[in-house]
Amino acid sequence: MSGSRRRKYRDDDEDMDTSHRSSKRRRPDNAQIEERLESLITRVGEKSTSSLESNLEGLSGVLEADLPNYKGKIIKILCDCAVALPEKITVYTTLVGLLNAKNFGFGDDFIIVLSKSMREFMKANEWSKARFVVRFFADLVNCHVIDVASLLSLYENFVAVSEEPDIPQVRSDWFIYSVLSSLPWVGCSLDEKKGEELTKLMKSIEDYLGKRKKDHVPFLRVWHGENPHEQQDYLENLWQQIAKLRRDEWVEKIIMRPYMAFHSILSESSVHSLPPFTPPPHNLELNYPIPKVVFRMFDPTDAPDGPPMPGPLSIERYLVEDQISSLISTYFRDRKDCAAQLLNYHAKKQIPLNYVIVEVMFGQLFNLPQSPQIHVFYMALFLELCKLQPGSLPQVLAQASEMLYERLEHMNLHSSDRFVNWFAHHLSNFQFRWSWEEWTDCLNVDVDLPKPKFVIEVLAKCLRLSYHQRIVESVPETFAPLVPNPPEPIYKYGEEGAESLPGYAIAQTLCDLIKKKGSIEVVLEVLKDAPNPKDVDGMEDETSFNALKIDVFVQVLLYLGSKSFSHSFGALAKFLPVLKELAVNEESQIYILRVIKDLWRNHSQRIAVLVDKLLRVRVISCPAVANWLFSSFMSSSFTRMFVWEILHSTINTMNKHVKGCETELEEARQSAKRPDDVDMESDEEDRYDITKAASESKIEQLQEKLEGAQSEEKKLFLIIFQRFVMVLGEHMVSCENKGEEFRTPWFIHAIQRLQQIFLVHYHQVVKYTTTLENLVFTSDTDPTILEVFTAFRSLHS
Amino acid sequence: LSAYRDQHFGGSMDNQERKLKEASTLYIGNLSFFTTEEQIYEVFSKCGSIKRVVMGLDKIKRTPCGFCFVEYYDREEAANCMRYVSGTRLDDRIIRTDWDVGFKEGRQY
Repeated sequence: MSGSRRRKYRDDDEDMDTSHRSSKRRRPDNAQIEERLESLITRVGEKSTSSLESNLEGLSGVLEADLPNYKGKIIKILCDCAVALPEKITVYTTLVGLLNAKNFGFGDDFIIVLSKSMREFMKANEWSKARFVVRFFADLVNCHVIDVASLLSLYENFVAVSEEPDIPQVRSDWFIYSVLSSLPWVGCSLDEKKGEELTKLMKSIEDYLGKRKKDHVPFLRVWHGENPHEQQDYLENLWQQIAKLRRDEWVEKIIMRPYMAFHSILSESSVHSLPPFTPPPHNLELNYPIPKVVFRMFDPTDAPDGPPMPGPLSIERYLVEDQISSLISTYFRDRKDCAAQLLNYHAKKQIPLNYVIVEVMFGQLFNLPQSPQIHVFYMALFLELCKLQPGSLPQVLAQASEMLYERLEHMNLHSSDRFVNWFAHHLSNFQFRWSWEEWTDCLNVDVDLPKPKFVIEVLAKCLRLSYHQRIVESVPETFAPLVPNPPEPIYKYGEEGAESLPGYAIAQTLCDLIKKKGSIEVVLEVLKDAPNPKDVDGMEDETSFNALKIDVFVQVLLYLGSKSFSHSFGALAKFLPVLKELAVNEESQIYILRVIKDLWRNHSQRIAVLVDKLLRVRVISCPAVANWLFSSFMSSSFTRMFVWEILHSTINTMNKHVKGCETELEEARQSAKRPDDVDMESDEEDRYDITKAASESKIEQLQEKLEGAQSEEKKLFLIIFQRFVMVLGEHMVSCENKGEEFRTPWFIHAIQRLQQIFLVHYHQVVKYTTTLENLVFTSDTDPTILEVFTAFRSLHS
Repeated sequence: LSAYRDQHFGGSMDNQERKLKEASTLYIGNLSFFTTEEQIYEVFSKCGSIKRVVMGLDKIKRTPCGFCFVEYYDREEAANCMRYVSGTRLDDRIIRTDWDVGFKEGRQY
């Protein structure tokens, strides 16, 4: 690879560029002006040499001049900004206020358009955008664009949703949340002008919160229990923050309010009424956001220098977190820009910014069921932040890591998996330097406890990112018991004393044959000679498949292909027909997996990629993988992370397969609908009929394929849940018989893995709720296990 | 898209541009000669499922020589890799990723 391959474009592109430019010069078209308007509007409020107020005043003048010709476009851009740049809400409400003061008709049109798009967002399940619109309306009251009474009636209609009969709680939740979360902006004006009505409104909200169910809370908490911070339900928390804000007479110190500077201009403009708005009625197409639990890890004592951390019940904490989250969701595509935006956050003089950023980011990374962005984004953003603030941010991050480690015992397993992955990847970017001595408390305790388990998994991940010797050298010698074994294959027929093994001779022959590039036929011929001893490894009465055949072939093939992943894949591809012949039924597929685990027991990553490959080439089925993971051969690894990574990736593969079948069928149906490439003239009609018949039979086939895939997916989930209920139940019974406590570290781990299936694959599992209720999680199920299912159901009730 | 273009691409510039915009393969550069396929799988699968990794090899010695191709199943997964893995470290070296039109036999040398 030479430098020349990276050279930039040559001159022919420049020619293209100039011709493009000159054509533009010739006709200064609307598109160009619209583009300029868009850039002016989206950029206002960014860092600038002049003040925000003067920029807003200037921009409103420019836009006013363009209003006669470009009103529609300007309204559209501003509506887009209102939902796409929520962190700049008050900049845009001020701008709309100034334009309204200059041009009354503009304000009216703007409100109508934005109100329409709010309805569209709701219908399209874009609930966070709809919420930003509500907040925008609220703040427009402060800018004298919307009159207080009409906002209040919008609020009343929203709160009335909670009185609707037979609707899921998540629907009422969203409407209540939208009202509450916009109150910090407008609460003061409301109180001043409509104090009595506001009191009534707050009372209705309080009543609703009082009767609300909260079964989902323990399910979504990053930490169980309340130590040291309670992880509160999001509505409950916001309610307390708003109640406190109200007691403080609606005074907060976070929201920047540029319209204050334009008080004299704005107070003279006339206000509009919001068009009457009734929320779209509930139907099955509407999927409301699932509830949240507020993540908390810092309190004022953790950040001793600089401004104090706002308390958990203060509105400041909510506002800052909400705005930092908005910045992340606006800029996540560019991590450098995102980091810069976060560190430039305008209220940084009043808060310990680094702590807030770190808390919000971990809150997102650990959020259940899913984090808003892919996990690796948070690693990359932390790196960027460390680069920009090398003197302060790494310390905060290290402090946070210490705290997370200290609280592992209470941490949800699903979040702690993400902690493992982040931490190992982060270390790999810092030469694996860490003060491990601080964590010696994880040595000399039960290795099934969360702390040693965490260190074991982190070191296993570090190994995958580097090499064995490096990990051995980066930890103190005392940590040796937690360091993974070297990831070497353990070839059964090459070990001392292997001569006495039943398949030894065949293994030798096979080995020579494959090395000499023997053909598939010859290999099959050799395997024919394998006896079928009924007592191989305790297998009894085995008539359906020959275990020894599988054992010898898979051991030899994978051992010979052990040099790298490519070698392994090459070996599998070459002998695919042999594998397919051996993997005739689920039992033999499970046996193949068992042999792979045996050979690669010290290389979990290799096991994972091999399973993935075998699934994709359809040598093994997804249900076989699930049954293997729950089988007794795997019980020693049952609580290891890689087992669950394999299971989740298997479920994802299955799901992608189902979706692929759906798309295929849909495409076939679409193309059957418009036979545009067929000539419809009379003499061609016969041919048309034939094509039609062919496409119909193709659709039928695809329909069958889809149904097959769907039933396999259902089977997969049923197996997983049934096996879970079995292993957990067996454990409880055996503890009871021994008179021991059943909540052992193993049990706590296992039941959280069950919970994880519900969380990670929430959208798929929801489809099977009724089936699961009838077949798996019945009234006979132990209440401790049933609790997980009940909590899952409360997420969408 | 970035400024990097494969100078050995045997087609028109437009064709290359079009292919790059649909690609889900990345060229990865600045790897250590000792970095293994295993490590590449580990880091790059953080952005999505990997269809294939092809290690760049020295023409004569047939040993890794500091680059590779990573092909994802989806373009969006490759896009995430451009966003979040490019510029981070693997084996203490800052790795660089670029869009690629897709691997063809022979390009690993």
